[in-house]
Amino acid sequence: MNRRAFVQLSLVGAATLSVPLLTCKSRNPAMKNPLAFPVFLAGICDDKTIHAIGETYLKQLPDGFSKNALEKLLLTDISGNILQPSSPKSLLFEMLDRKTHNDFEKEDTVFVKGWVLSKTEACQCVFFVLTSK
Amino acid sequence: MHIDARELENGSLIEGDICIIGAGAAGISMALQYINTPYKIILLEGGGFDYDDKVQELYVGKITGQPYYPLKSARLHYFGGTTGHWAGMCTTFDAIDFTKRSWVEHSGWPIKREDLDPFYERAHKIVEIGPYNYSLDYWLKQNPSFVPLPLDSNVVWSKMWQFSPPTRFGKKYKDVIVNAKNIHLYTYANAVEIRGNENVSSITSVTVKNYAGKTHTVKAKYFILACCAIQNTRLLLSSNKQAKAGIGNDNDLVGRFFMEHLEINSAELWLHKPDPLKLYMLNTLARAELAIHPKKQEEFQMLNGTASLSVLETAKKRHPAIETWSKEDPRESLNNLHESDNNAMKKSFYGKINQLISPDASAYQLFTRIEQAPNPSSRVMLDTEKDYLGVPKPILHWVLTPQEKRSIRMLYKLIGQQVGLAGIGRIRMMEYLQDENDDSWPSFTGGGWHHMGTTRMSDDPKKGVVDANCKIHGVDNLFVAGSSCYATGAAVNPTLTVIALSLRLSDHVLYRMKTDKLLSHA
Ligand SMILES: Cc1cc2nc3c(=O)[nH]c(=O)nc-3n(C[C@H](O)[C@H](O)[C@H](O)COP(=O)(O)OP(=O)(O)OC[C@H]3O[C@@H](n4cnc5c(N)ncnc54)[C@H](O)[C@@H]3O)c2cc1C
Repeated sequence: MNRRAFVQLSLVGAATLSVPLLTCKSRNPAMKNPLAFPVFLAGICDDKTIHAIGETYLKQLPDGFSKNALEKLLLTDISGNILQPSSPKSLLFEMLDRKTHNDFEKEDTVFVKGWVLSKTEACQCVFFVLTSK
Repeated sequence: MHIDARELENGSLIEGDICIIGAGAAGISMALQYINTPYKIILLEGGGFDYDDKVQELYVGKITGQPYYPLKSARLHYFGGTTGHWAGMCTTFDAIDFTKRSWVEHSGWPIKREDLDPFYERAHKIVEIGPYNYSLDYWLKQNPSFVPLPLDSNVVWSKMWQFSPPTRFGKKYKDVIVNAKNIHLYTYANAVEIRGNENVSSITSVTVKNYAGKTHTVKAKYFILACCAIQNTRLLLSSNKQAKAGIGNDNDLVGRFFMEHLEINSAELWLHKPDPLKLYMLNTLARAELAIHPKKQEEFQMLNGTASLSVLETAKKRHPAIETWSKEDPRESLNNLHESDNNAMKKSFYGKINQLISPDASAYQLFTRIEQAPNPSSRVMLDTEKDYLGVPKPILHWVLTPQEKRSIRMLYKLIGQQVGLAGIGRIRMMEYLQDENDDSWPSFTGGGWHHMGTTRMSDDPKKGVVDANCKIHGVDNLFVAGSSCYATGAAVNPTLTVIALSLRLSDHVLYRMKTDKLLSHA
């Protein structure tokens, strides 16, 4: 598995998630959207792997699960509040990071292409696939 | 005292109080306990003091189940036994390994982990390892550079190991055994048959043979079989002139429940930050492996297994043991294994500086060692073909079940969750584990050269061959020493427990000798 330049923005660890997307080197515009950018995972694997995870997990989601429904799911924070897609990116990153952590805490994890992932980050991979199309 | 059985007059009668058959880790550990006792100990060893290919040939057998190492090379047939090749990795079984687990059929020993504690401590001296202390805290204090992964120990804990030099029993204990006045070591004395009284409730003699064409008879009050799982089975099953199904085999259990540790690369750990993970790397003193808390094993109905870590770059270049250990000659197989390891180290960046620890590694291979579910179909049987000394050759039919694979998957799901929760990285399982409905095994599935089961321990003669004292049910003076007595295999290498169990047995037989004497005076 190759680490790619595009992950440089992901910095180190979920705790330091003041990720300025200005530094995003990926040519894939979808990566500029926090919902489509599983930041922790991107620090470990390349966009091809993230895409493959997204495609596989998409097949595991119930039929007719739309992009809109996925977006809403991702924008819902752990208390059930729904954030706006236009919210500051740092806020979205922080919320998604918390959700990811919460998933692991609640054992709300999924197993995709061998990866043990938080449900949120797996959904982000799917969102990446859907917005890349 | 040492006697070469080839030099004895044919048809000699050898007599003693206790006869130990097999001078490997188990047999030598027992003999050491008897030095300077008032008893005459006969220690029978099939080989000499060095490797002898003709004797080694007596181990040849067939493999019909899961692919396995050639039987000729999986064990050593000379004084010191397979400790001539062992790697010296030592740790204890867990308490859960001895319990009856509802989710593991045929599990449960008639003894507890605490019963072995004093013997583990004594075993430490024999294999020349540090203090009898496997607590993580202790080892963290010993080495400040050891830092555990920040995982919840109620789910994934760090199980400590210690490393024997490794003690080569043949070299280390030769002089002490040979110089002991009451230990009569017979080399080139291959036990080929066990004989009993009329109803085989008591053993009267053992017949030994060698390539020099000599046959001798050994008589003793107590007999201890210490030839390891496959050889013990052969000897019991082939001693079928008086007991039709073989000795101790009234319930068709001898040879069944053969167990190995599944040893297989299973997953990768990808860390966000480079970390040398010194605590988990191979070194000369002690290291940790990742293990699953017993409560979680119960919750997820899984077998006991551990994950060991090594730098991924090096691990990727290492060939699976099942490929490298393919030669009939054990020396060649060992060389191939070492060569593969050395090449992997040389080829990898870290290897160039000959380090197993890399300060800037962030990707690690996770290697599983897991017990297999005790399974009566996994077994050692006798072939119709015989070896040079007239003993039927063994057939190993090693069988795995879906439970092992599901447990490996669960092991990494739990580690994966913990690693994710700690925010340190992610786990990726290998391809062969990805389809939850696939119970097949990949070609690189291997074992740890750990032969267990075959004369399993149980209080109930219908469920086991030996009782809690390692005595064969229904035979009053025949005992078994070694891993063939294991009811389950645990997640760890077997030899420290083999020795602990053998020391416990040696105490028991001494006790029996003493009480016999008292009774005869009464
Ligand atoms: C490559 C390799 C690496 C290993 N690494 C480890 C490790 O790191 N940690 C660990 O715990 N274990 C390890 N093991 C396993 C370890 O070697 C065995 O568990 C241990 O040697 C078993 O001891 P034993 O006395 O029961 O059998 P053995 O050591 O095999 O001794 C049996 C003895 O009986 C003799 N014998 C056999 N048949 C007869 C007969 N008919 N008559 C008379 N004598 C007979 C043999 O010649 C031999 O001396 C390893 C094994 C291998 C092959």
